[in-house]
Amino acid sequence: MIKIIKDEPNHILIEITVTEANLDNSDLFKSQVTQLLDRHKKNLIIDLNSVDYIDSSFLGALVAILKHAMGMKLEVILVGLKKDVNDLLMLIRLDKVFKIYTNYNEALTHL
Amino acid sequence: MAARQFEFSNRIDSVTTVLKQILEFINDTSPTEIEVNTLLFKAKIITIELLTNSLKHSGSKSTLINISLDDKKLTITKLDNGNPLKLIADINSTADKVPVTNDILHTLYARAKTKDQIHFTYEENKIGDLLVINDIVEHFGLLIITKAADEFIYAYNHQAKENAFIVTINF
Repeated sequence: MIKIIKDEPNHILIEITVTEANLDNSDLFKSQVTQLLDRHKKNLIIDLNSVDYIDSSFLGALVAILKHAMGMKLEVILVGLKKDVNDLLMLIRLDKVFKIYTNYNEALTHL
Repeated sequence: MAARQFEFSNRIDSVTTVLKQILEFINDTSPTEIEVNTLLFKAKIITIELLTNSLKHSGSKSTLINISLDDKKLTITKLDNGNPLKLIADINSTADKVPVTNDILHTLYARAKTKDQIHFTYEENKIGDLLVINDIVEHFGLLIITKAADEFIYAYNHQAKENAFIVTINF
């Protein structure tokens, strides 16, 4: 479901390994990432480059993770969004609450 | 005018297959002069949410998705025999629009169109300097459909015990 790509002093980069981010895996994703935040207590960069489509259940999980992280005064940054995923986040204005960057290196300049 | 019916078995592993069939049909039958990529994006996110809604809430064994296109619009209709939306009871008892969800980003409203028929609308809320993340809702299905569509109606047929979600996208 998720793979840790980098574990740096002030952040962790993870990649979502599924192509369909949906009802089938949203609860697992939420619990795995929440546990990761609790364990590492670091800012989180989530790379969605493998994700072809995302449904409302998974968006709900992302928002729940963001709330959890902000309660710990940590940031959640999304990178590598495909066009349809980015367009969906913009449609429901989640680009106003998530920091979204093209790629990991760009995200680093804002951490 | 083109129309076709697709059956969804209410299994998560069938979502991609049914979605692909529906998008191929829309791509093949939509008028040549329209911007098909925008239409396919809207049809994709609406269909995913309709199918997800069936997986989560319908309680029926299968769902029918009717797709029809004419020279002015695409209509996506989802039919199932699951439990009716609980909103129906609230909406039938008032002439006013009822907020379904409300946060700093949007208010989603339901209003009675006729008896047992709900029309969904939304307003984008003004975001202040203080972004209160904890207020943001975690249920986006109805909002996604309402924002991607030009018209989104839910109707319940008591005699047939049938739910109908009727979504229109104008060209």
